[in-house]
Amino acid sequence: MHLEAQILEMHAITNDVYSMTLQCPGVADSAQPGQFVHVAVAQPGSTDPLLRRPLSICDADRSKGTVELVFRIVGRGTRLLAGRQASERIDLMGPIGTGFRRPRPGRVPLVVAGGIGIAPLHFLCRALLSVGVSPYVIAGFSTRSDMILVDRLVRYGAKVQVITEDGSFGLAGKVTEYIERAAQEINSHSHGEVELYACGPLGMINSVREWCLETGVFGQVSLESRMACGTGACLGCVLRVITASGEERYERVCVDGPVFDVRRIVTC
Amino acid sequence: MSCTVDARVDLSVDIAGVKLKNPVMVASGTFGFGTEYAAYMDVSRLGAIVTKGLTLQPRTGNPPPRIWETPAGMLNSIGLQNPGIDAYLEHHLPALRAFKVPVIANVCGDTVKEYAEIARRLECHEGADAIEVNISCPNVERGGIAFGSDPRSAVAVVEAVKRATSLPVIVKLTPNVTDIAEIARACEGAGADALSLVNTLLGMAIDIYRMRPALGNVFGGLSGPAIRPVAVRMVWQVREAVDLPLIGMGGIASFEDALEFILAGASAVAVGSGTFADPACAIRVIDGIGQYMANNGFERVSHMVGLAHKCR
Repeated sequence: MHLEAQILEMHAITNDVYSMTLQCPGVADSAQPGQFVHVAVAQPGSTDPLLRRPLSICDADRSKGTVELVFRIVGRGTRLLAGRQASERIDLMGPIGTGFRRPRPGRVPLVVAGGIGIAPLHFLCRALLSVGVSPYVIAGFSTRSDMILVDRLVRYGAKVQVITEDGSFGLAGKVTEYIERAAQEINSHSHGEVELYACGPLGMINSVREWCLETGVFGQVSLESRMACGTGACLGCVLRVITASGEERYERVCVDGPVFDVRRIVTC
Repeated sequence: MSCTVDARVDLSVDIAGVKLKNPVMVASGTFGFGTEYAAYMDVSRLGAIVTKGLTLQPRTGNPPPRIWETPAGMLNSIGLQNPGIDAYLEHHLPALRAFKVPVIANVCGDTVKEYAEIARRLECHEGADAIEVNISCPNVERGGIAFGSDPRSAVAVVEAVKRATSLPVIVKLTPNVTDIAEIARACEGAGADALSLVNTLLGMAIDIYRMRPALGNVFGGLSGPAIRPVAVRMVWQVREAVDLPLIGMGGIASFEDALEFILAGASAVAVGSGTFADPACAIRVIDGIGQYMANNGFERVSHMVGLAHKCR
């Protein structure tokens, strides 16, 4: 759907990450973890910047009819978006895309988040916890002051291990250095088989992919891409994938993704 | 959604025998095969749908990144990714027809023969109401120079397509030429039934953080409001050069933009990347043109076409 939603709340979480909560019951009702909304960033009537920005849904509350978007300022569009105020209206399309599949019964979700990539995984974790599935989250940030959404996940009952590159909080290093350890811990405690969920920078996704291919663990990753239409029409946001028959082709991040089976990604 | 426009206003136009209920189409490559936008707008209100560019064989397209935003515009290098003419006829056409809107099939080829073969199959399977010939493709038999930048190559394609089909043939002109009027005259002489203009302007951008070209294909096509003055100028020039009906496009995002093209000489217009900014852009343009006509006493669109030439 295409609609105008009112901004209920807008605040900075860190110096470059913002949370925007919108009143849009239609989107809140139908949104699935891993889906996104395609948000107009130009002032109404302006065509500069021309393109919308795809933003992950970080949370959706059906009873209140609200949707929360958490985004980082990475360029002109997100900078304009960060300047929007509560009570203003914003034009959006969505929810869009193929989201995360629930883990198979008895499997334990291992959630790997890198930086702002934690936003769609937050929505996933809440959805899993609401059906009695407890995710094990490892969340990497460059430093303590970049840490976001961890407190909320802990409050909802998720097990979260934070990793910072400079060691200023939690374990030191890169989140991908701790995947194996987390998987072993899950195995020793629950004897459940692991399924992996990830979102983060390309380097992290590549490491996650290699780990999944080596261990045979089923993984789903949420990817981003420069996007124009957000409907599957323009073929601008494509990703090279490999099909079950071994044939390579381009698929659209907007509607075929943004969540992909990690085995299908050729390379990021 | 219904139009609240004055009943005396008639928005219908006839482009080379194709009857459109209004002069607003969606441009090739920006609207897929129609179904992609059905959740966001009333597709059946469009004057016509121009399909994604079709080739004889499926094309995988260019490596990403394929999109780069620019001031009031964007670059794209999709590289003609499409399922091929046969898959179009079998899988996409039925749903496209269900909108009950005239379908204009945009076609591309590497050789003159390929263009003719696609046109033949389209006619044979009732795959379109008209054909838009994209002559911006490189001519493989003549060293890769675009068909549309060489009058002789353009003539060869148009003549071959005209021989292969009785469907109306619209030739889509590239702006990447020294003299667009010369190409337009050559196409008219070769039997084109209408011209559409302009295709994207060739451009590029550099990603300064990765220190390499922003697009995987290095070069891309610039579209959006940034190119509109160039497109309006070219419609103006071509209007003075030929008598064919023109379909104007290039950065249309509002009814005011569309009227510039119509007053410069276009009988119809197409909304392209404006749809990316607002999926309902074409609908706003249709309603806005109707309102403008009612406010300014125009009963038919044809009464406005090229009017600016008479008023200078």
